[in-house]
Amino acid sequence: MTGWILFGLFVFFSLLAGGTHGLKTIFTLLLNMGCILAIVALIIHGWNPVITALIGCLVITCLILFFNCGINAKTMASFLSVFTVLVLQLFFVLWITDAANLGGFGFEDLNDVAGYSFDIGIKISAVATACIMMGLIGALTDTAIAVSTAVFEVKANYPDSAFSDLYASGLRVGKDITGTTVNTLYFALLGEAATLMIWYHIYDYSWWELFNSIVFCREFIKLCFFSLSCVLVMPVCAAFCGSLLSGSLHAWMTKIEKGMQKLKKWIQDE
Amino acid sequence: MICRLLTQAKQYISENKRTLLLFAFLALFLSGAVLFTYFDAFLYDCPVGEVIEVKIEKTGIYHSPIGDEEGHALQTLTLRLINGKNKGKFILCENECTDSGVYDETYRPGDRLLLEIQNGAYTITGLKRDTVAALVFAVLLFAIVAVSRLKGVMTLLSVAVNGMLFSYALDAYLFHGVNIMISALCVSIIFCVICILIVCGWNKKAFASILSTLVSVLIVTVLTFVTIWGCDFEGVFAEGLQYLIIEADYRFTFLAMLLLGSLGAMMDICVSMAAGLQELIEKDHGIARASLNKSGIAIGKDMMGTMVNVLLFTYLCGSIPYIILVYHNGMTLDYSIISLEMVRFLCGGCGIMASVFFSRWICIRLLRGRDQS
Repeated sequence: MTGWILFGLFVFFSLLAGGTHGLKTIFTLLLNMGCILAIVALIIHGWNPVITALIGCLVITCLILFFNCGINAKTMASFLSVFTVLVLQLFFVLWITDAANLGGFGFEDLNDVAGYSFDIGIKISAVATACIMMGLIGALTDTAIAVSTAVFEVKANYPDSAFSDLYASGLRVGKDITGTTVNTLYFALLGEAATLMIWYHIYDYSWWELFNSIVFCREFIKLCFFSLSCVLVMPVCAAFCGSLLSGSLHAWMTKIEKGMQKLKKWIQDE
Repeated sequence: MICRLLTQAKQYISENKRTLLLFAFLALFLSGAVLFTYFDAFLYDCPVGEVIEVKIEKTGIYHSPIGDEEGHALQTLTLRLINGKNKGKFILCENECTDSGVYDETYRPGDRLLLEIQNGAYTITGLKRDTVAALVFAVLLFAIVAVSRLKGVMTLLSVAVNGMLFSYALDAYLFHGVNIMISALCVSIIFCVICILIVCGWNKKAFASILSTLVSVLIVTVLTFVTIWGCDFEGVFAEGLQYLIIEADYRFTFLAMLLLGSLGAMMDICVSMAAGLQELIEKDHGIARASLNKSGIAIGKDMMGTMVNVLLFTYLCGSIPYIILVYHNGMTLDYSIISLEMVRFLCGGCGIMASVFFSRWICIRLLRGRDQS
């Protein structure tokens, strides 16, 4: 009941803020939720968590980018950069979750998980990797779109700009949004972990107890990975945008765009 | 080809000598810090041991309530103490572990473990994780400085200041009896002012962003809280809040967490909106209010979809391990498991949409000033 009223409030504010675009946002949101549910369902039925999450993340990225903004050079550049950063980071995340054994529940979780059998037959550090990958996909796509939109604006206003100019302007925009993106992630995680912080305050943990506790470490490393992905995607996206617009990939991109136009025409004719 | 690349690299290095030197110094410093955490066992009060040898012995296969198979094993670890007065001594420890590792850890040679002395015998309390945490943080610090330079440093600084302020707010709540809602509200106003001043600097743009953030936070907070409290928390299982210790005012605690969780996203929107509109006004001082409004709508459209997704994924992914545990115990999965995350997400979503609307309205009026004609 409360959930439905809040959802109504959310729909009302989206209509107020964006009109019909607000409805489109809500529709994408529902699709994304469906994707998350599907990924979770596949993982609990025994699919490999890391591979499922990686493929699921790519599907979600396609949904957000191509459904919301259409197939064009801008979304292609964003998709390529998201893919690159995701795959690069996957190995780092896998290594760290394994080295620090981040997946498991800690002593602080015992209130919630006491009474359950722990013999679940799924390697939990792989699940932790999947969680981190899925958690960062939203922020990653957000940053990639912001950078590529800005670079394409520059190209539209100054058609002669070379690769290095476009790359530099992409980085400049990236600099401006680092602060706010990191803050968004920080507050979202702080909102979730406020009770945990109260716990640490009441039991008066020392610094070394804090940084070796599995639960604190999990939240801290999660925040670091989320922010890291946003920071890494900026130069990658700027480079992809630059080379798609006036670099080595430019010829390739024009071919794709021509193909898309032909496809559109063909669909209209049929 | 390679020759050309080499000459280009040489030219780049000679042009950017100072920056590169700075980065090299930073990388050296950070790797030194990470190495220090690897050897910092002498700072610990509890004994720390390094795993030298592992003998593993399978103890059988157990089944979960829905029939998953899980191998259990007993590890016999040879540890060498690396701090305290028994430094260098070898000891034997036993450790029960499972394949999945839900509530236990499987150790490998080279791992460092925290120990505890119980009844004269050493028992393992857990893995020493500070090196890994330091490594990830060092990589983040290096990346953020390399990409965003000074702004990245300022961002991390503002996060650190916020963490300290939050700790003071918790002190006020826990030890001085201030209501958690009120202390959260005060602290989020201070957060908002500090963060925006650090990000934007001392100018008109910053004031417009701060004002629009505060207005949207107040309106959304009042609306969502009245809704949740009016429905008497029906369908919101706030008593199941994780890590809850003080159960007397768990409802206020949950509402305070809602407020904090959506604050960052709202600041993000208001700052971007103010920055975008300010740029348009600077290009053309006499720009008409209608066209500003139109651009504001376009800026808002770009942001709202992706921002809502950020919150969705950040919130929902955290509960996956718990969902998996519940499912494999043969319990039915229902809405109550993710009800808190959903409410958090919906409140954050309302906050985002409302701040898109209010920040456009306020920024246009504040930044453009009176009509000259």
